[in-house]
Amino acid sequence: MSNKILTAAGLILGTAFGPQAMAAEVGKLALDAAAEYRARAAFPEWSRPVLDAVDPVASARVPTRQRLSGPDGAAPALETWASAMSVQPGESVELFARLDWLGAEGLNGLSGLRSGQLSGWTVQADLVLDQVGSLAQVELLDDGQGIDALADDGIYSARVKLPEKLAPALGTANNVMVRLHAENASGDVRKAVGGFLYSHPGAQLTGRYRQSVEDGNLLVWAQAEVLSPGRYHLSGTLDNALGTPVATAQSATRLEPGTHWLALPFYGAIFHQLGSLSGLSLGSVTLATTNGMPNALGPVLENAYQLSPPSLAELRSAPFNDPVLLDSAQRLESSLTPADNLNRSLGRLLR
Amino acid sequence: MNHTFTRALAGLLLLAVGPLAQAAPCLIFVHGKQTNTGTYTSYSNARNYWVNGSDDFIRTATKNFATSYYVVGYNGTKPYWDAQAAGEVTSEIIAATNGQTDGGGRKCAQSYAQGGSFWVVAHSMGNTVMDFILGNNDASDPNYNFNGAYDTVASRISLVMSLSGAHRGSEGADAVCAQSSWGCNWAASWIQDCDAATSWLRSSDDVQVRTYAGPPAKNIYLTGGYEAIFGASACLSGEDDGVVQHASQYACGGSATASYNNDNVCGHSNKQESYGFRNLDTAHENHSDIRDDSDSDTRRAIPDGIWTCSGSPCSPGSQVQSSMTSGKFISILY
Repeated sequence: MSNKILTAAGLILGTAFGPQAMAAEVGKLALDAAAEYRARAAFPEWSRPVLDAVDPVASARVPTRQRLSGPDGAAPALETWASAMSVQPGESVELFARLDWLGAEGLNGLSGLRSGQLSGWTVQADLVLDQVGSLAQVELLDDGQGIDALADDGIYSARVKLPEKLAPALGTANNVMVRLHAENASGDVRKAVGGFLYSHPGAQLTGRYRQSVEDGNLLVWAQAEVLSPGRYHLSGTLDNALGTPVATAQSATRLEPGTHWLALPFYGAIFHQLGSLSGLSLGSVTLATTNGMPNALGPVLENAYQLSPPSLAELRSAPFNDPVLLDSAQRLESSLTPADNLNRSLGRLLR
Repeated sequence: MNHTFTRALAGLLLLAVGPLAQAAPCLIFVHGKQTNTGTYTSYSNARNYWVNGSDDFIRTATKNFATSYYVVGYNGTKPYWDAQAAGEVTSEIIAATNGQTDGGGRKCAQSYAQGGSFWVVAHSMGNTVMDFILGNNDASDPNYNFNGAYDTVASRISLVMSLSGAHRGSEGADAVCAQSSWGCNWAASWIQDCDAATSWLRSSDDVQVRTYAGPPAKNIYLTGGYEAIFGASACLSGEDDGVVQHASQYACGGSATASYNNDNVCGHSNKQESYGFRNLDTAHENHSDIRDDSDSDTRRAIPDGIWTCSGSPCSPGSQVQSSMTSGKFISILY
């Protein structure tokens, strides 16, 4: 049965018999997308309000965990994570692993659990540099010594200093795959794979900032010391006085070696929705070198700069009216059937 | 005005004008990962990606070819960001929107300049490729126009329909690259070895597309499968289609290996980006079925999905169709 007929039948049945159960019905995708694009067009891609109170710059750098279960899904699964998504030459990375009994996809391993399976695992990691080979091999321990916080808590840990002689060239990065092998006295084996970036950014933020208002937008400037020519991507988030993220911005440009000021342009209309402009701060900022894949990621600096309250009168209040999104919305609406458009018009009328 | 009367009138009018012509979008099909370069060098390989015997996803999705379409072929052995992956897909989408023919002589009914609209239908890794393109379309993005005119693609397409998208990679890729594919029957799938494309489809943060792209410039609508593949599915977290777990098919935030089922898969507030990803539904199809129209099966609602029951969103996990392929599902969305 066509969607249109379903809709019509639903309308008629709904009228004649009240709110009885109807067949599941699919929504109007084009209409929903068009409405969303019209709303989203109010702000440019380079600066948007943060609506969910989650800092998109900081949250994107929180390392996640990877896990793999055993043969045919048997418990335990081996879970692994690193202390950072990106590590620079001269820095160390901390690696962690845990044997996860309850979260495994299948618990068939538990039913056949033998003595010695729960403890006494040996966990080893092989760090493999893409296109190069083995970078380091290390054993992760659960002995409460050094980096391992607590003995026998089931979390195995190791700290690895990356060899500088295998560092990527300035302004580039390389993927480090971490292959883990866990084995207990009974010969049970679990494997998992994680990873992080070995980054060698071509520039660093110096920690100096300033602000200005230009063309109705609030610009937060960050100073960078550039060591190698290339393309650089700056991103950051503004927090309000309570520390809640309220706006994010990004920019990118090619730079030559030397000291430069890079702008984070926050779209003016965002601030007209905020109310108070006192207490704004640059809650997070980071600079990446984007000459190729993978990008060389710099650190995320938190609470980097306290802003002076900008003058709201100097900040633009008009929506951005992104022409690309508005054009797409119009094309989506034109793809609707005459009946869809009639329903849409009636819907507006009834609202 | 009496609202009930108006709605009834609208329904009757709707029946009356239903057959009138509409400006249907052109569908652009982007396949998934490959273990050889066949789809890149041969149009018939790219076209047959969507075919299984007498079943043909493109025929169904285009309403027996009544809707115009274009089939993209790229090198599915390369990382999603490679010139022969994202770059090639970009070139072909621009060609499609310029009104040029694909390798099989098919073209969109209207070019972009003529007012056409274009919906991309992507499967598996094809979605990772689209995430990279649509998240690097603005001059402020980290990898703007990395190896093609991503900005042109983003301006011309209206949306993406994601089938079993590997947005967050695949635990299958993890298993193969960890050399731990014991008992997990990956041999029948596209992740036979840890080649460059597979390595870039792992779950770790350093290869995730979200690390190298912003939110998509156009919405990506997510449908996926929950039919297990014997052996392989036991090695994946939560519901899966035998190759890609729900956390990835539905572009969830947090860990790519988190365990989700049809009832609790991430809604719109917990995606890999702050906007641009939208849930549709889930089907009892596996990773292959979902792109070749061979399994007309149950469809279920998911959180923030598209199906409505008696005017309200259907309860997550509830059955919304007893027999419908994803090809048919797409055909009723336009």
